[in-house]
Order: sequence, then structure tokens, then C-alpha cells
Amino acid sequence: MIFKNMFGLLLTIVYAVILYIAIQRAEKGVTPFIRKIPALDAIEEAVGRSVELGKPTFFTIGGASMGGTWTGGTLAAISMARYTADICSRKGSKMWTGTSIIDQVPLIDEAMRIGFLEGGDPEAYNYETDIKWFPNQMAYIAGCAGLYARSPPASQILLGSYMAECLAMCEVARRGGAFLIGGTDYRPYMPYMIAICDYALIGEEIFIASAYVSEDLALKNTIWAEDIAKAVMIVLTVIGALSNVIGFSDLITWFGM
Amino acid sequence: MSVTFRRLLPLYLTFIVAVIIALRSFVVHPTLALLGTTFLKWSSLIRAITVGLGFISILLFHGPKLVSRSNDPIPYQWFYSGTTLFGMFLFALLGVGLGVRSSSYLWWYDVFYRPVAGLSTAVSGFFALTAMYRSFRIRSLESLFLVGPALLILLYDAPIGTILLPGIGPLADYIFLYIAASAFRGFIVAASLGTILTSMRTIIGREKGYLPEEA
Repeated sequence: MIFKNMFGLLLTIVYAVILYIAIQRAEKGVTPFIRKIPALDAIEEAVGRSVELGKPTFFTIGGASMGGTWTGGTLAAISMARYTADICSRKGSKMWTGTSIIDQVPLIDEAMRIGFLEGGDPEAYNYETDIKWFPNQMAYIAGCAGLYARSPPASQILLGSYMAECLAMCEVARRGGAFLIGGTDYRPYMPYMIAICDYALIGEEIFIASAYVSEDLALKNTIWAEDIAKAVMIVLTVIGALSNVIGFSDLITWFGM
Repeated sequence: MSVTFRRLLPLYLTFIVAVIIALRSFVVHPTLALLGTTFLKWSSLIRAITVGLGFISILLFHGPKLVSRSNDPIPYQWFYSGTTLFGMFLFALLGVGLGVRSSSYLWWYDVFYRPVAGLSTAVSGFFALTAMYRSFRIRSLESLFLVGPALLILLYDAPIGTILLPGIGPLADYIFLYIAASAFRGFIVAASLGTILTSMRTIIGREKGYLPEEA
């Protein structure tokens, strides 16, 4: 047996230990401090607006396939679709979910079904009409534009890994007069989300979204774990920078192992 | 279906498969390599099965609409359903019968699919342009931070920019190399950590938004 990528393995073990400690903290009843994230708090407001206007809430998920680099953002978005479905079910709003990736459809269906069930109105969800699937990235935009022309939603929540479709979809929704909440983990399009949407999730906020809205203490403690992991990363970055300045390049080589 | 199959089995499968795939990144061992390759093949197989299911699902959804000449939910829905079914059968028959590299398949692809795809891309392009304009309006402090450097970079990239403002080059380079790069690196680190911890939460069964209800 030969080991490779030793430093990566070490970091993975460190993160796993931090996650384990976070779950232990949850079992002891420790509630971590989590600052307010306006974009996540605004989801209730978005659904409320849909109820007032008698129009649907449209939840679109980014076009990243399952099993790739961007799976984390997609899973987080699907969890938030479930949370939004729960609110829609309680408040009595129609909810549509859009995607351009067929792999996501069964997961979205399950999330929507459970969300509406938990909210107490499972009959309000219809798989055939409430999941809008568009076969590719550009058809996603065209399909959303058609949807806004026929029956414009009152609010749109865009979460997941948005790429080239991001700008146009935001524009379509904005022209349709929708209240917009956006968040993407795909770096190049994040500035546009921030500039166009009413509320935007910045950076890794999308990954903690499901933990933020959850009542599960263990999930909330994973946000604490992420902060500790970030602190470890900052310390390593400073050590790496200093060692480079003083000419001790062996450390950098070891970091890259 | 029992809770074991609908909830526990996916959790156990996710854990076992994810741990083996992750170990492949750190340990070189023939058994791990074989298992990893097998799992990836299974994944392809599942995808192939879902394509078959999708074929049946589209047939069951659009077939009745075509037969009953339905105008629900939009006028001429039956026509759109018919076009969808025609395209699906055409490409399935050509692809399976002659292969996706055959001249017939490629001809139909070029005359049937490509113009439609090109049209939707072109329409989307206009939306993207107006969205750019919208995002370049200073609505908030955040927009100001976006617009300021963006205008500077636009001027730097345009030939007239360097003529009008000769000192713009070093400033634009400074923004690119130090301010933007450092901010992006910080984001990459944070997003990567977020991805790792979301994956770990999924592997240990804590992130379960996509799973069936609790037992």
C-alpha cells in the first residue's frame, strides 16, 4: 500500500476530527453563535410576497450536474428547496422548481414532496406541473423567459452553481418584476448576483444555508466547524507565507505533497 | 417501500461509496482502484437506466396530449408535444440504428437541433447584455465596488482607454494582481472548505434534504 497526497490526507483527517468535535458539542447542547444572514431570512419574505400577490414562488437550481466539483452547492440548494417548500406549504403559496440537469429531478421531487408534507399541505405539490425541467443551459433561460411571459412568479430564489445562465435568468426575473434572492458558489458570476438580486448569499454562505435554517443542533455546529477549519487554513497560509519570505521552501514543498 | 430501503440504504451506500472514492485520492492499492472504477461504471449504468426511464416518462406525458390535441397548459400544446416526440424518436432511432457519428444523424442534428439551440443562445445573449447594463447601475455600495473597478478594466482593455488615461495600466494591473486575486483566493479557500464540510455532512448522513422523510 502506497500513500500519496499526504498533506491532503492530513487535512482531511483534521477536518473530520473538527466535524466530530462539532457533533459532540451538539450532543452536549452547545448552541453556536451564528450571525444573521439577511438573504436566508428573506426567504420567508419572498414567499409572503408570493402569497400577497397570488403568484407562485419560483426556486431555480444551478446547472451543475451531480457527482462533479459543484455537487456541494447543488445539494445545499436542494436542501433549501425543501425548506422553501415547507414555508410555501404553511403559507399557502404555489411553488415551482426549475433545473436544467436531469440528474437533479428525482432529488428535487423528493425534497419538494417532503417539504410540502412537513408544511402540512402535501396536496399542493404536483410533480407534473411544479418541476420545470429545461434540457440545457440556454433552454433554461428561454424556458424561464417563457414562464415569466405566461404567468410571472412573484419571487425567484436562485441557488446553486450558476454559470453563463446566471445573468440572463436574473434579468428575466427582474423584468418580470420578481423579488430576487440569489446565491452561487461559482466565483465569476457571484458579483452579478450581488449587483442584481435584492438579497445575495456571499461566498460560502450557500453551503451553510441548510444548517442555518435547520433546527438540528448538530448541523448548526457544523458551521462552527467550518469556522475552525477556516482558522486552520489562515494559520497555514500565514506560516506558508512567512516560510517563503525567510527562504524555507521545504515547508511549501511539504504542503504540496 | 420500507424505511430501510428508502432512507437507510441510500445513507449506507453514500457512506461506503464516498469513503472508497475518497481513499483513492490518498492510497494507491489495486483493490481500491478496482472498486473505484467499478463504482464509476455503476454510476454510468444508472445514468443509462435513467435515460430509458426518461424516454418512457416523456412518452407517457406528451403522448396523451398529442392524441387528445390538448391545448393545456398553453395553446397548441399538442403541436409542441408532437414535435418533442418526433425529435425524440428520430434521434433515438438514428442514434441506435446508424450511430451518433453517422452522416444522417449529424445532418438531422445540424438542421433540426442546432438552429434551435443557436436561437435560444442568441436570445439569451440579449438578456445577458441588458443584465450587464442593470448590474452596472450604482444601486448600492456593493454596486459601486463592482462598477468602479469594472469601468477601469473596461477602459484598460479598450485601445482608447490607454490613450485617454496613460496611467491606467499599472492601476488596472494592481487591481487584477493584488486586490481581485487575493479576494478570489480567499473565496476559493472558503468555498472549498464549505464544499468539503458539506460533503462530509452528506457522507455521515447529516445533510439529508434530498432524502425521504424520517422514520
